Amino acid sequence: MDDDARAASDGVVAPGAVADPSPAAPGGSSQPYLEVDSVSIEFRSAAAGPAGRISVLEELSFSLDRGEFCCIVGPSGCGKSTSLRIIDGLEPASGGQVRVDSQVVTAPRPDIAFVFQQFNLLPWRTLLDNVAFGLDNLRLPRAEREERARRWLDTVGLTDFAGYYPSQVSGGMQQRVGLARALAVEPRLLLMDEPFGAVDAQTRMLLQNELLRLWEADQKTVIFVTHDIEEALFLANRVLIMGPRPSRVLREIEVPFGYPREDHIRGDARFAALKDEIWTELKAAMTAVPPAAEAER
Amino acid sequence: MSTAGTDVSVGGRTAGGVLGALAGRGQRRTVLTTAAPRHVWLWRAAVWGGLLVLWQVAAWLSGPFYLPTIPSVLVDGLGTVVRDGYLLTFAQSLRQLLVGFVVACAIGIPAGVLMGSSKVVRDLLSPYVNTLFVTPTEALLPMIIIMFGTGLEYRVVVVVLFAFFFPLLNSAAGVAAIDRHLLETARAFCTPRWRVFRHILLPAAGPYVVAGVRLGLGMALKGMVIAEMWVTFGTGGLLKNLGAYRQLDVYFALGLLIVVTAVVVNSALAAYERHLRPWQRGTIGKGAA
Amino acid sequence: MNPTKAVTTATVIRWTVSVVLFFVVWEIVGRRGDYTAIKPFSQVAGQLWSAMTVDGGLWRATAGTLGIALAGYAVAVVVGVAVGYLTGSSPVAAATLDPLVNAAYATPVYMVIPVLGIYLGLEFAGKVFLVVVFAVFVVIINTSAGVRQVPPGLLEMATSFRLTRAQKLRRIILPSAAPYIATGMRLAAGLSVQGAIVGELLLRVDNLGLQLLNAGSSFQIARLLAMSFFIAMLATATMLLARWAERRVIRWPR
Repeated sequence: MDDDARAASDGVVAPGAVADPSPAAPGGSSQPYLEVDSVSIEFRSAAAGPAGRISVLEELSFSLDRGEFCCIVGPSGCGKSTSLRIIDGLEPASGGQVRVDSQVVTAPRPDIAFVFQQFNLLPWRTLLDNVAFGLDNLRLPRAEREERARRWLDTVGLTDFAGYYPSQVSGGMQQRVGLARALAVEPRLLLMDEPFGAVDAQTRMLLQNELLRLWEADQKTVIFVTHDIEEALFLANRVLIMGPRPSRVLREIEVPFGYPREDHIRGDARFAALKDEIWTELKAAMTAVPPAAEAER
Repeated sequence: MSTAGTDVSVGGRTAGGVLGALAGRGQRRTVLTTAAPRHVWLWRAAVWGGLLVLWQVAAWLSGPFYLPTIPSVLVDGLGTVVRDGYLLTFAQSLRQLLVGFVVACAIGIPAGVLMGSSKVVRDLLSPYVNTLFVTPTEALLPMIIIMFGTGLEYRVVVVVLFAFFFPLLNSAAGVAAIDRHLLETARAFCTPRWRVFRHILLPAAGPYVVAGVRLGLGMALKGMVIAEMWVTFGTGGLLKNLGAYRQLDVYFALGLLIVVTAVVVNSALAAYERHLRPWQRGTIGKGAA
Repeated sequence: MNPTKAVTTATVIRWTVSVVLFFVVWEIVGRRGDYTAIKPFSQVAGQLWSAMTVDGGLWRATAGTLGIALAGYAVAVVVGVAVGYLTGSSPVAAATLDPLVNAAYATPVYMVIPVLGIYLGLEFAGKVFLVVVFAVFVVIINTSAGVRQVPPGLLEMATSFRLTRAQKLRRIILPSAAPYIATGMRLAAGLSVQGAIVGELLLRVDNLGLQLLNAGSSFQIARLLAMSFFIAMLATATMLLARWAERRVIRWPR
């Protein structure tokens, strides 16, 4: 990802360049790390009539290389969270396949970790024990488990709060615990479902910075779902725009900024232009769609 | 994925087996759902029917002095109940129960409201309420009989002692549950006293009071039965004698009558309670004091 | 009546005043002799004291009654939690068993007393069964509620970390439902004592029931009042013990 070089050489990178959906990784294997291949999902819903089905995802396809930070934006209810859950194996798709590291995903895997919007911490465990939750299954010796949990709690800056309970700390701190818990199992793919949606705006910016800092340390592959366009542009090197349902990828946008990223890029002219472009696309998609979004198969 | 309300199932993949599909089980169990399974009444018919079959078989094997068969209960038993005037006895017991229950509510609800609104009143009364609540009222029966004899007053007192708790406790809870913010809002809009009572206090506390009445009625029924059993009078006395003389078909018929009455009244009140409080699901106070 | 609220000094004062007033009034009314059924508290206290120390039978009777209560309580808790878990987690079980449990909860359980002797006898088995019938429904209903309220998000999170069903039960469902189960167990404790005493009065009169009825039938009113008072205090002690135990279960701050 030589964004810095690109930005330096031609000054203006064509924003919104549509990336080839299945790019070959430079000098690497021909298979992308993550492939979402024509994934569809539909739900039976009483709201759509007696035999009604709502098609939420329709032939969703995209792929990622190792180490990419990808953000997915889209209108509410378009199935962004659902697609993330399919990738994690929490839900089966009606059609299509997800392959991670060339293996089809059918159930949750140890190399994929998930961060939830609602934190989902166990209220009866201390913050430290919550971080250790994912490690319980790894059959590590007790001392090593505790050491790892402590280490990851430290990386999110909550060392002094190890003995506190979730109800005693703020939402931002709880989500940091959720993040530490996911990172503690040392996954190769990190899935984040609107993780900062439930905290206030200022905390959100702090958490974004912290997330990037953690990510830059070992460059996992990350898929981050959000409805906040600015957040998506600030964090990702690639942004996928999903339309309303039945949704698929409307556009892919390469974000021209390099890492590490500073807050000031939010004020950059290119940043604003990209944000505008994405918003225009989203708005058009949301207002143009005819009301019959339910498809009968 | 929340399953409240919609029956969610993911098309394309089959759930494990016909039973699983009938039970509405999806492929993953990450949610403990009590949304109704498909074919609710099929399952109910199966399970309840199975229990009835077990009863019938046991009855056949053990004989009428041990367990009456279902037809004998429904036909002979109920027939006797109607013919021999047991129905009338039951009605009379219920009438007396209602007298006691009305008294219990007349004491319990105002007391509960007072206790809920004033900490002083609550502190002064709570030792008695709490102690009486945990004390088995049956243990007080000998004492009550000495004080009141074995007639109507005695039965009413017993019913009151059984029944006044839930109206009291629930009314107190209802008062406590009133959102202070709503009262403040009413003041900000210069709402007159009576309107506050009618449109804020009543709707807020109403469901609790009805729940208290519902639970109290159940307790009143218990009180009536035990009071009557103790002195072998009325419906309780009937049950006692029927059991003693092994007229089991009539006994179970009468028992069935009582159960049906209790369930019908309870359900009716529960429905009314939910009607008063459509913004919340479920009923209050399922055994929680 | 909230077990977790702190108690202020003012409250304790009011309690004391109220209770002291009660005993004073009792004493006065008893001495005036207006009601044959009310003897002065001093007399009653005397009877109570002698029952507790001299006669000795009181403690043996208490042990007997409590033994039955405990046996029934244990059965009620085991059965109640199991059934409650079932109806809380399985839609089929809920649909088929809930109506039965609610119907049973709404009906007077005393109804079974006249025939209990036929099926289980009037001794230990019958009395324990009566206790179970008194106590089990509260446990079922509360356990069921506790299991139902487990936040689905926690279970999904557990799935994402690949916990097995057994692990989810042990690490997510049970701790989450624990406060509800504890409440059910607390209420069941009081009901168990109540059921035991009813059994001792109505099935085969024995233990505390015998103490009570002996005093009643021989018109030893002061003694009868003393026994009634003793049972009230026993029930209160059970409730306090159960409350304390419940507080011990819920150890994390809310």
